[in-house]
Amino acid sequence: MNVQLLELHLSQLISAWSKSKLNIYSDSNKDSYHQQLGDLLHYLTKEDFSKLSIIDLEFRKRTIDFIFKGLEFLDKSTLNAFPIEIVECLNVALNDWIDNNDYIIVTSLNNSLSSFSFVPSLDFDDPLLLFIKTNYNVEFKKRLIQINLPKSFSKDYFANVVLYHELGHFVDIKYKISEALAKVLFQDYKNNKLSAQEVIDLELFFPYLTNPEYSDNAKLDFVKQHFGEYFSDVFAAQYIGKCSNYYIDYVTNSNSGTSVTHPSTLNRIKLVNDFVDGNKNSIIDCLLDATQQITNNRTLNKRYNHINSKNFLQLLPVEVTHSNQLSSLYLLGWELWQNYDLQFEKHNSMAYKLKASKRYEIINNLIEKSISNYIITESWTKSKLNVSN
Amino acid sequence: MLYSYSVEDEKVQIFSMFIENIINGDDSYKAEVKRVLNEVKELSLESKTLFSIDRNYFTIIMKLFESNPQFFKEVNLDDLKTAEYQVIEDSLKKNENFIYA
Repeated sequence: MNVQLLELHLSQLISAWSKSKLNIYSDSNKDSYHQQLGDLLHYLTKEDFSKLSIIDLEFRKRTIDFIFKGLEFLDKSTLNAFPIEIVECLNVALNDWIDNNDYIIVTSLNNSLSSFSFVPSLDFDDPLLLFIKTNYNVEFKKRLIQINLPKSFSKDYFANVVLYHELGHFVDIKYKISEALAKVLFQDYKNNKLSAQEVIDLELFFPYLTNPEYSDNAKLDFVKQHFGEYFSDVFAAQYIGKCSNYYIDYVTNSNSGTSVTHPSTLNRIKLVNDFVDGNKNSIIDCLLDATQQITNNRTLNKRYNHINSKNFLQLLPVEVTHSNQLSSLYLLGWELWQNYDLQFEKHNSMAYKLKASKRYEIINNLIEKSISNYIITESWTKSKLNVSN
Repeated sequence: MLYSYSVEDEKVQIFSMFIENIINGDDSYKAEVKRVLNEVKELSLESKTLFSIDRNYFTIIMKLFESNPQFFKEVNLDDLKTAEYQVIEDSLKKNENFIYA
């Protein structure tokens, strides 16, 4: 470890920190997190690196990276650049899967149209957080997770259904569901411990298993990756039904090929359809069983409700009475779009036909307003409760 | 879309540094290291499964278990010697070699 380079690294951090000092965030949790990063930086600047052992210098390098990453996340999530409605929906879903949800979701708006992802790097590094607590007595009780989404789609409630898939990756990586399941199933497959139907389904959804050109290690690696995608698809379908199918089918051109990282689109769509329609599928059974065992009895099941309101047709937001209806708004929007038959024109006595782009704008606005009204109402209710208590 | 292994690699490296600290006489992380090694032992003895071991240290536990299950079956975690910590540290440094034939 080169001490001069570590000092350069710290100097770069101090420079970045000075630019972030005036950040204004949308909630106090981000302010507190920012403050804790500042405390940690303060302790680092007081140290004399030249007197530390190589291993202690290694720890400092990682701590500097941790602060840098935290700043990078927070800088992109200031008041003006934060899609609060989308994040609220994801937070509600996260509550279903994490006890005492201590996460702060931050967002990064990117220029690529396909850049939907979750960045969990500040959550999962428990050993580093232990080092920080032990050495500096700074304990990060809240954890940051970053959602990346395309800037062009930051207010798009059609494309953003795929964020539920990305949230699925986060939950999967946190609990190591697909990784454990892939290892167990692959062993059972190799040792002929699976039923005939399980073998048929496994070879259908993981077609390279029968390909002698791949080594077992390569096959297991593919199975792990692809189980991660299948889990995330089923996870998303709990909240948004088949909506992500519509989008993925379109953007991948109904891809029937399998890549190293992703199963074929056709297989992904089939799995989601089987889950939503309740068709027998042993891959889904395995996912359900493993998830229940690993996550302390949480179950993958349909959590959305079909909203029967006609408000959208009358150009009015829907009144959301419970947080578990939030994701159903995405379904309502997609269903209206997919089955559009001049409903807006008919219900509002319009003498002209709306262009598709206008319909898109209306539906997006109605979904956003419905979520926004829910957030405001909830906030008022909580405030009133606090006052009366 | 995102599935980063680098976070897990980082965890393995930092855990390795904890062990190195113990070897160098610093016991700050000894309790946490022992807790994780106990998970490896329980997996080796089949009193825990892949579905029930600690999820935060899953990668480290699996790496240690797969590299040397017999060692963990037999080792006495209440009286680990420096040489045994060295074996554990070496196990963490072993690379998996995937062959994409």
